[in-house]
Amino acid sequence: MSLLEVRNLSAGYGQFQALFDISLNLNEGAAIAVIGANGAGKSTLLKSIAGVVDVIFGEIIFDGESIVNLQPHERLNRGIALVPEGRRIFRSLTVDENLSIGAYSRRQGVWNRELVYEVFPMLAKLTDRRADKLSGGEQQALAIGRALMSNPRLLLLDEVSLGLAPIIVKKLYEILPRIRATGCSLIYVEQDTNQALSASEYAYCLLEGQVSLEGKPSDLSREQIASAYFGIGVNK
Amino acid sequence: MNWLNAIIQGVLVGGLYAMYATGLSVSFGVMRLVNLAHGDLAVGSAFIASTFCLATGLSPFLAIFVVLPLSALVGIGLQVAVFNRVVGVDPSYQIVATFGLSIAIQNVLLQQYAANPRALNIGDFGNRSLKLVGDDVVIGLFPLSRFVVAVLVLVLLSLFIGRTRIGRAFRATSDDPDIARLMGVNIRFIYAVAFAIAVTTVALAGIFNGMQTQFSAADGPALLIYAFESVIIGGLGSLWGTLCGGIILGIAQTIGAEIDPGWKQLIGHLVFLIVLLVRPMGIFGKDELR
Repeated sequence: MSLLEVRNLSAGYGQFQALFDISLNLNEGAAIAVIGANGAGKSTLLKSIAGVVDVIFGEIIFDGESIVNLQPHERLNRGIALVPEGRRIFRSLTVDENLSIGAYSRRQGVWNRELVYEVFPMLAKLTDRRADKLSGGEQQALAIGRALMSNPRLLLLDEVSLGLAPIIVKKLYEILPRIRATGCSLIYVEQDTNQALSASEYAYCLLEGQVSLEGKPSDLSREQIASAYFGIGVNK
Repeated sequence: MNWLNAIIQGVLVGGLYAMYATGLSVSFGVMRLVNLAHGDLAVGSAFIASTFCLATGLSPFLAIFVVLPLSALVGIGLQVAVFNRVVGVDPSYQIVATFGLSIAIQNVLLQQYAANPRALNIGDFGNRSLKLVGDDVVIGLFPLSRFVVAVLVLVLLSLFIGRTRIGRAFRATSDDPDIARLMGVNIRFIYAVAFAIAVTTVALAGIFNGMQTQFSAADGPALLIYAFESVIIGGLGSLWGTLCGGIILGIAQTIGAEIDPGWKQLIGHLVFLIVLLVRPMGIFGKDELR
């Protein structure tokens, strides 16, 4: 059953339009990847699903209902959580307090502080540390943990691997199946395509605000992806 | 000259300055808003308290319990009607809006109450004092209780911001309002609470001021300066820094007055300027609200 359906979405910031006629579908419990170069509109897509970017035209259907006119916190209450690009943890709050803010919506579910600390053991011994004193990997783990505290049905992950050492990225991606196992659907946005593609069942590639390629990662050749990613005619 | 006495009086006055400054500290800390009408809200509250006392014949201390809830409502009203429109946009809008509000409040007060100064009469309580150190130090009972109340207000506020769910949301909003919204924090509600706190504390300060000295419609900007100086000396966004800033300003003024009565204001401003030169982020300055 479809959990999220984006239909002919156009969105942007003020006068600037970043997305043109995007359509995508996500089934309940599935994971999809949205890849594309810097500036292709990937983050804008996630932000319009989360409700922080103005939708110019189109529909976003979540769990059978249109959410286009809902405020970000109303979308969160329905179960959409965003792990923002650049982590954006609350710097002056402790790890524990960051998780508390994540649970601010009081949505019920399996996720709580204990489970987050179990899944991210690197955070468990840092509960009273101020978030700006954490390493990049720990901050990213905290950003994911904070989003999980709202017990999302759909987790939007914006550039989890950005600025992190490959070993840390690998570690974080190893944890993600545990999140899916709780019934949470995922959308990965990445510039680094390999991790995202191997972790998902379906992929969309964006180029200049439009879908340039879509399909199952196993069906897509490297050449197709490179062409759709960079917008150059590799496969003549 | 009696230095010990000057310092003690300075500390007690500093408590009042800190209370003026608390609201500025909170509204800047939570929503990066500098409210230029802050002092006028204090004066306005003192006038309302005075009207209440004249109409009912009751003590100004009872007026506090009427004026403070009213101030909280005024704060929420101003937030909804004015400040929500200027938070998070170009700061020049804030300056124009709050400066305009300042002028509006002053003129409404002038029209309503004329230019004559008023005072809040607390009777004998204002004259009672404790004599210490062989009569060298005289501590007025009223300034002392005012100081205690100021510290109490700061302790409560600090507990509220440090320990409660809404307090946590205050700090999260201060760190990153966009992400706080994404976490389900209704930042307009947070801003309204912050502004209610700001107006309530400054109203209390305004009434306390009126219990000691006369006040008139045009006094607001001068009070705003004291509040600003306390916040800057202590460090933006730090409540305990604000208390220390108020106390340092108070001591500087009383010591200045001890040297020469004409120097009271001057020395206060000089100390402020020196702090600004030597430590621009203030004594406890950090980029956060605690």
